[in-house]
Amino acid sequence: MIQTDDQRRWWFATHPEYSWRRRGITSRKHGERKHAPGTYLEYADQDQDEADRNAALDEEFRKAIELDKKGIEADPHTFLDLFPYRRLVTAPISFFQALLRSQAQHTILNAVKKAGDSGGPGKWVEVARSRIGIEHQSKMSGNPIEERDGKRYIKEYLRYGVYFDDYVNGKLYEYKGSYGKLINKFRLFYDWVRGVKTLPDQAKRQAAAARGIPVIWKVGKDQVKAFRKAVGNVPGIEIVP
Amino acid sequence: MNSYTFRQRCRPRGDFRIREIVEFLQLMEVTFQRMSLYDSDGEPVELTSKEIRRFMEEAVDKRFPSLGASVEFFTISPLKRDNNTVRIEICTGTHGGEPFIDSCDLSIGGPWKVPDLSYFEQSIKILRPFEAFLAEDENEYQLDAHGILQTTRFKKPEIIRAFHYLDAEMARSIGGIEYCLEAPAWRVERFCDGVLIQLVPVLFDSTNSRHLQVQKDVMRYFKL
Repeated sequence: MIQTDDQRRWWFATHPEYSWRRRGITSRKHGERKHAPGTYLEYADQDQDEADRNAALDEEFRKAIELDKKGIEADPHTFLDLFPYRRLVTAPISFFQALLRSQAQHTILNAVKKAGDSGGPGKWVEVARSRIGIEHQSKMSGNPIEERDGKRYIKEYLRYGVYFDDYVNGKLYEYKGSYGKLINKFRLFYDWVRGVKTLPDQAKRQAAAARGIPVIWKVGKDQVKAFRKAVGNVPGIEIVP
Repeated sequence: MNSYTFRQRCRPRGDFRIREIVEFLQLMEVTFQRMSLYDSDGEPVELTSKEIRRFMEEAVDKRFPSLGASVEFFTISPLKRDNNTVRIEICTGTHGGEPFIDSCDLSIGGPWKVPDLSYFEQSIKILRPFEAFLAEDENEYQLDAHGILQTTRFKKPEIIRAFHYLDAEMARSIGGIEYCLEAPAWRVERFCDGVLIQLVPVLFDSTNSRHLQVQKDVMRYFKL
């Protein structure tokens, strides 16, 4: 059994036909043909390929014998053949790609951001919130929900007495959960929905407290029209999907 | 299918405008042929100065009194969840130093609920807004009226709607009343010390290319 690096080098030097880089190996799969079948060129090419491959093997075998006679030398392909690409290169790249694509991306990035956050123009405070919407808020902001005494707490950004769900890169954010059941065929709130007035009220308070800092409301993709109509008379709020 | 909203924007003056709002709500009862209006709890609202004042005072946020009060009324009890409901949203009592305005909005819904435009003219006479319009909601969204508002901030109209009233000051922002009267719209006339523009003789429809073309021409005329 090959156990040491020297043994591996010797084995590859004396068995070049097993080297990935040896001539004659192509990227074609087993049984795959270079040309479309049915033409005589196919057979002519196959014969020529076979002859070339044999000649190459003979040549490499001859070199290997010479090397063996001289003593063991490092095969130029050995390092590349032995390097554990899958473990050290491919797998870590795949892992990070998957991580960045995953839902965890936002959470992790936000966790890092919050840890190093200097505070900005307001301060982070823990607030008790009802169950409705808090999970969406947590998912979007990356702030964890903490349960104590039967209540759910989450960190929010407080500025001039008004709470915002998040503060990122100089912008204040409000994350609106799904209001899908209250949206009609015009993609607007049903006219019988109570409490729509609370949206412009909240928008006014936030725009007033922001004092020039952009305020972004992130809403469901199909709810932008409804929210824009609801806060139609309030400047200072940008509503985006 | 379209839905419509009638908005009236008033300059803030720091009081609840109780008298005007009571008159406006009484007009809305007549407009939508209702015996009474309903509050958020589905209770009929008594349209008296005292009752409306109580609504407003309860609605003021104690931490932000300068932002005024917002209340909503319904033409059908909201508990019935009837799609023929018209929602009336009133924001009033905003103090002068704020960047916000007072407003009375009617969220009407489908075209079958839009009343005769003469009722809106009466409403303008009662509330004396600086701007009032009947907006087609899809048209507002397509032209990004809310986005434009972020920059214009009530200094001038974001877009020109099918039925659009501008007071003298707003008319001045787009060239003055005399200039407005020459706009290539179906009807433009002096109204309530300002100007009333009607783009087309029928209810505006954003799926009608001719209506959109008229709107485009008028907006180009006003350089909007």
